[in-house]
Amino acid sequence: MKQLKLVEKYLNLKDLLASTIFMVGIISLNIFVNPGTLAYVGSIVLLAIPLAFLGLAETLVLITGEVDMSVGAGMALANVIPVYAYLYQGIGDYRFILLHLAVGLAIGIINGILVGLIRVNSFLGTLATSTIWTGLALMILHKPEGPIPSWYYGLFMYGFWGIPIVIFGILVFIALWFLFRLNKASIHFYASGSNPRAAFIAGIDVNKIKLLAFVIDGLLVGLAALFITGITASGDPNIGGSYTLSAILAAVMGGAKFTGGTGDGVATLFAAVGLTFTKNLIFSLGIPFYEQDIVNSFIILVLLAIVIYFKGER
Amino acid sequence: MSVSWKIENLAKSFGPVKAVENFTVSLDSGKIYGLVGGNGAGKSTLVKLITGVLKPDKGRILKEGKEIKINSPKDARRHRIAAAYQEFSLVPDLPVINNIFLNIEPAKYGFISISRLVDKSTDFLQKLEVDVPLDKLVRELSPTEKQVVEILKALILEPQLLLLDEPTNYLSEEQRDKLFKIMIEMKKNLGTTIVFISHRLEEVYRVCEQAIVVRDGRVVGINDLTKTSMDEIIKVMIGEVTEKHPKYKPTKKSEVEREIKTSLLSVQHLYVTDKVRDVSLEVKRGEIVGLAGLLGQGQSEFLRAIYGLLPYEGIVKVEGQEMKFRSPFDALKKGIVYVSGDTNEGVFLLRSIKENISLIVNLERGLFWPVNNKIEEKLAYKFIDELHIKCKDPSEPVLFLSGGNRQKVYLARGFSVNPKVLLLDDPLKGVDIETKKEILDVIKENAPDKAILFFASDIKEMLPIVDRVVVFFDGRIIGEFVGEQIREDMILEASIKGMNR
Amino acid sequence: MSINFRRKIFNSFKVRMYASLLVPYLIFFILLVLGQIISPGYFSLDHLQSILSLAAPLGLMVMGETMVLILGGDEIDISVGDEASSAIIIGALLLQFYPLWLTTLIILFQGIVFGALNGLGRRYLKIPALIMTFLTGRLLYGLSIFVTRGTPSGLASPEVIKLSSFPMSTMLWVILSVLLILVLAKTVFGRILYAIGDNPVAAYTTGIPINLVSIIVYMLSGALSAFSGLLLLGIFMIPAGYGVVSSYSLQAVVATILGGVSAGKGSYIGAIGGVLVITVLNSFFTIFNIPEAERTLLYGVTLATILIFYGRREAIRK
Repeated sequence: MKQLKLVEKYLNLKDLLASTIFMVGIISLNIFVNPGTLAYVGSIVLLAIPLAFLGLAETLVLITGEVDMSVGAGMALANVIPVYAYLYQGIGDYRFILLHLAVGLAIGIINGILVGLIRVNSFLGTLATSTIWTGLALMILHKPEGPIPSWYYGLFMYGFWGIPIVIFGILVFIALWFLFRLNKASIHFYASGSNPRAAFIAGIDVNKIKLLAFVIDGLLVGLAALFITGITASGDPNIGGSYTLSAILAAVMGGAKFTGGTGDGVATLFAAVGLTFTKNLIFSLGIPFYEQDIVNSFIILVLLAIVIYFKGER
Repeated sequence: MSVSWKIENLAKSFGPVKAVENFTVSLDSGKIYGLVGGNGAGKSTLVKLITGVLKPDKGRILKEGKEIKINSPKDARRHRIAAAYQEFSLVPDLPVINNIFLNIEPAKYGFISISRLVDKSTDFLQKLEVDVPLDKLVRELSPTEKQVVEILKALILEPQLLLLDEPTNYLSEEQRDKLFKIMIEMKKNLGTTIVFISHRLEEVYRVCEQAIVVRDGRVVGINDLTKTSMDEIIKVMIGEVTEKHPKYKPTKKSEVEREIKTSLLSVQHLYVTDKVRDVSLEVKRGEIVGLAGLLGQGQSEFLRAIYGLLPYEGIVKVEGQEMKFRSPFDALKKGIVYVSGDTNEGVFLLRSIKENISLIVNLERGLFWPVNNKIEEKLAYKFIDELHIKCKDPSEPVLFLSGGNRQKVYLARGFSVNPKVLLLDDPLKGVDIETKKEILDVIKENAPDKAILFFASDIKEMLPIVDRVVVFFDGRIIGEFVGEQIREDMILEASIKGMNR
Repeated sequence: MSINFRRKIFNSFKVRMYASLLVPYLIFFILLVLGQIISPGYFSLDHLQSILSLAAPLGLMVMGETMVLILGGDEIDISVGDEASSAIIIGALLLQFYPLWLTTLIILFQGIVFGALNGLGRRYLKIPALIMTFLTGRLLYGLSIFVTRGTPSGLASPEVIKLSSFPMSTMLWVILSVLLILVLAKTVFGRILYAIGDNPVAAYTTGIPINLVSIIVYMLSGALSAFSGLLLLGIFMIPAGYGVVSSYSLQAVVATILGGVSAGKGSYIGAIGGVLVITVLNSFFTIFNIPEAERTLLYGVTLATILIFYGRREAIRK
């Protein structure tokens, strides 16, 4: 009864449905075009995990009414520094993992202070920091370099205690999302984005909430970097590439709006998977290499337009 | 739990406008006070000062004789002060239940206990015998439902001081009766001190023991409602009415052209969201119609809808032809001009005075047309002269001007294109007295070939120049005054009472 | 507040306005002197001429960016670099078959079309400018690859090379600059731009056709950036350097903001100063062989610093 209906709100059913349809549709299309895809669905989904975490980071920030244009660049930095540390400073133990998260945390704190405390406009501000992260990453590693510690690589090849790392990734994602959603802080996030004045009247410190959002964003970027490191088995300063835009798209498909106040993690996850399969589809369709990018960008544009248009109707 | 409150010398100004001044009043526990006053009296500002949304310039608040510092809404909450605001403070993207428990969610180690949340809310609703869809998002609610949630939000805090700012505006009669029942229970059983603001005096009489009458930001009377009649209260609210209203002395030109009286603007059965309910009005060429009534009775929405700023239902005809303006751009093309009292939405601070004044004229010339400096200056000087705009030089940015002069620039632009219909939405708000007179002169002089609708929250402003006055109440026109009937006290009384005698 | 007191504050306002116009030129001058000290011959007429020619393409991109930034705090165009890069590649291809005038027209058409796309996406689909123009940039990239099947071909024709070197490019830049400055200062269109940036709410209430004007602005920005691509083709001589030119988008934004341009205020005069500063900085980077990484970092830090001073949000209490 009442409790069930409330839980329904916690699950954001409409957005979840839309992104599920999208994901399932694209996967089916992939299999239709190239039945061989079925064999390595797992590895494509694994490829989607970093995008999913970046999308989650973006979702959190969008919920509070801000945006983060630096998630891709941040992930690159959080990927490059640990690899550098391993290759040149010999740090290859558990600290290798911690470094990813530490860099992410630092990025989050800086972004958070810039936007939450100094109150710089978030998209120009994070645009600036994204170039800073990219610059730093390029300074540390001029080009992709490897390898990474073998035990870490092993996790990605053979899994964690027998569980394939992709499942692990999904479980961590869902756990983190529900940890957030069930925490009362999440209500304050939504309130701050949806009607900051009402949040203020209720005694919520909106600026502190935004700061917190960016800090968690940073940690998630670090998490995404952990997966990228494992997947590419290298440190690549340019890996950020189109991730930022795709992350925003995943978040928006997951229900987030630029005006704030909405957003859902699980729907973002499905959207991220769908988007990754879309890229794979373009590849499978045999579209010449140089045209892949334009088709991908075009699709992103169309998807974004559709989603924004329909969200605007409400 | 009886707590007494005292508000001492509270004051708050917004620029030159003194919203609240020397406000002193004692509030005992277990009593319901009605806060009454006309437009601009300062009621809503007072509420925001007490709840920490605004910081006072002067004064203090005492609880049980001890001064308490309220610098933010958090402090107010801590001191058990809660309010239901006139413009709701709800989060549209969250469900009702989260709005009610905003920042007081029952949680363990930070994690919301959904079951406890549901239990608490169902208990609360049961106790009050109120029913709201707890799981619906606030953005999906009707204004009535939103009003209920806004009130519940305040009640859940079990405050010792409860402020309700126009809580009955969207409630049905049943709901209103229930609210009053709850208020009486609270004061009797919990000793809550309640301040109730409503523009409907019968309501104040029903549920309050004392009335705090406010005018121009200060307390002008504290009356025992069992001993004071409504007419007496109204008299205190209105204050002294000087019989003499400087009747406008017509200059030569305007006397002549009042012969032609064709209907220039015709509005039939206008509905604008919930604020305007079936208003019809005809304005003839050369007429100045004053829109009276307390603030928020639909006057602004009426004007803005005609101008294309708000969606509406109904028919609007200009010169006999039906029109539907979807944006100000359309309205301007057809000769409708709108000027409001909010310079923030009318004036470009960084641009020069002459630019601001000639903006519409320039727009009409065409996008890539060069600006004719001479014409701009001529136009600017014309209005600087007519309206006595105090400035050094028309090339100065409007930022350099005082509020009243900025308002003059905004108005000048309105007159610059000689519109067919001029919609004035409280344009003299925050303007000093000499300036007001200057502006009124210009309005009257420009009247002969136009239809002018003039809403003024301060009746005195419109009296010298209007031909007719219609009074708005709860979104409807409840009275009309023509010719000799146009008297300040009569109009004010009708505005407050909500009916024409 | 008394009138005199207000005057005092506002006179400092005027001072600040003029100061912000001069600051970039001051920095430019200081950098030139620095350059002369470090590498004698920097301040020579010859070298200055080459700086001016090098600055012209960026100058054109900044013309568009200036209009966009004046329009409002939400508006930005980061497709300028890609418009230029794409124009380089397509221009080189077309010059093999068509005369310069026709090639120019086609390039301008590219600029206008993608600019219109930016405007429409921003205004009607309500996609934030940053994202929309970024996407358009990517589309332009894709377009250029598509058209040349991945391998750019062609060369700059002698006319183009002449066009892009001193004195032709500088003259061109000067003429266009004068035009822009006149349009911004003296036409209704310019007035409207500043009005929209100053107070979008008032602009709407006053009946200004915001959507139409915005789309025109983005179209102009696209056209100017695309044309700057032709100049760059003349400088590079071969259709190359896509990555480098793409990064011009960010430089254009920094140069414009450095020139004191923001929502509702600023002038192209200041932005020219910004362009000169950035161009000289770039040449410093080349002289000192500063790798791209550090350059990017520097630009990011600069942008962040500028934003801290120019780009803050309002408090909630309002």
